Amino acid sequence: MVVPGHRLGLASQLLAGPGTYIEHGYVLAAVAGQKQLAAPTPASQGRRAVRVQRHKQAPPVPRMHSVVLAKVLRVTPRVATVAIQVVDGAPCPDPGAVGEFMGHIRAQDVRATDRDSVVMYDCFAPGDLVRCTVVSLGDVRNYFLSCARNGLGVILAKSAAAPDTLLVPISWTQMRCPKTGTIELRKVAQPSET
Amino acid sequence: MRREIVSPEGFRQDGRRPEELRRSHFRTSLFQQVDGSAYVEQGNTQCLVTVSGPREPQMRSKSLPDRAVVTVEYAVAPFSAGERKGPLRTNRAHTEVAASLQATFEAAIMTTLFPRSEIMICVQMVQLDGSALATAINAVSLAIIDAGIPVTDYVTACSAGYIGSDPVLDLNYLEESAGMPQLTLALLPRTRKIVTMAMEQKLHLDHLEPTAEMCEEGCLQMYQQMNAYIASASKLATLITPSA
Repeated sequence: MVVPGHRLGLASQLLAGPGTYIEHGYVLAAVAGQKQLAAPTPASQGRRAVRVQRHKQAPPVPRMHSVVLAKVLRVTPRVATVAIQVVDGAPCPDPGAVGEFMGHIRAQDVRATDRDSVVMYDCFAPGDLVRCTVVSLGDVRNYFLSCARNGLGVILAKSAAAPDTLLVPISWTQMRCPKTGTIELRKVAQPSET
Repeated sequence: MRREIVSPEGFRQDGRRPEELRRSHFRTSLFQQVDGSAYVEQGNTQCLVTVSGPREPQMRSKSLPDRAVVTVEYAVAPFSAGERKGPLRTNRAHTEVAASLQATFEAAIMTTLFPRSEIMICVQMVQLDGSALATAINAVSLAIIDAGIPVTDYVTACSAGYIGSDPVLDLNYLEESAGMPQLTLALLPRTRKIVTMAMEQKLHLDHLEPTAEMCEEGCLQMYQQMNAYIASASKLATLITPSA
């Protein structure tokens, strides 16, 4: 257990990692938490990497290649706007209080093949839950997300014909309403891949 | 009516010795919606602080390309003092306190780690009984540690006044309103580097040093108490959520 300003050791013997800083040849803690020492690696020239791990879990932030679950808010011919709900299995904090992470699934990122002739309205509908990866930290407001893999795409969608009925996937482009039998078009995620 | 601040027996009106701090009480992690929060009582002065960030700045024009900006909101509850004051008053004194809090914590937070982001500090004084700035600094310090924002050290603060021929530590409202000069000192206790030194009144230069020394002693005592609290709070946290 260390607190900010706590001396962890000599900078010549340790490699300062996250949660630490170096001052006057010493490595010091910058956050309160548990000190963790790594075994020396050949690259570190005998020095052990030290880091300070907080007790409280930091809220998740999407990074490059994170797998996120997002809810579709809007669909336009070029882009689907989504709100990110879960990052790498960790739920985002209450969106009402802190504002949510927004994402864009652009038409060219929907599928791996035939990406020039994507019809967005045949891939997503507002309210769908989509599994995607982060391909770019994007612009000011949005992360850029991609569904261009078998395991990525719509994992949960509600029927337009029957209220509160979940669609059942029948192929990678189609879902069927179990009540009315209507077929709706989606970019469906392959269920086996997580 | 003016009473003497220190009685001939060497006690103050609330029973303290001149070099004694008031009882203090700390709590952290009070809110879920923000990244860090703290509640500090020093005597009857009570202060509630929340910290959010580092996050995307609310005013994009204010972001800096090389480091995070620290923004401070300082508010005093209408019911905090003896006389009720309306809430919607932009007070110059409050803006000044906010500015000095901002300067204090920009010196301690490792802002260069978070370029183009904002660290928002909201200070709410719940009850005023002297040494408001010092209490606010201590509370913000705890809230920042609770939020896990990297800092080079704690920032601890303490006030002292000078009356007659001796300094007195940690003034309460009664002593503050007696009109004696009051010095508020905030320092990084490990290096004893002074980050903020505030005084509104006049004080002879010869008296400044003993007053500042007493402040420093108070800051170091405060450091011990805050440190002990953070250590115990983190131990409790390890028991609840064992780190992987």
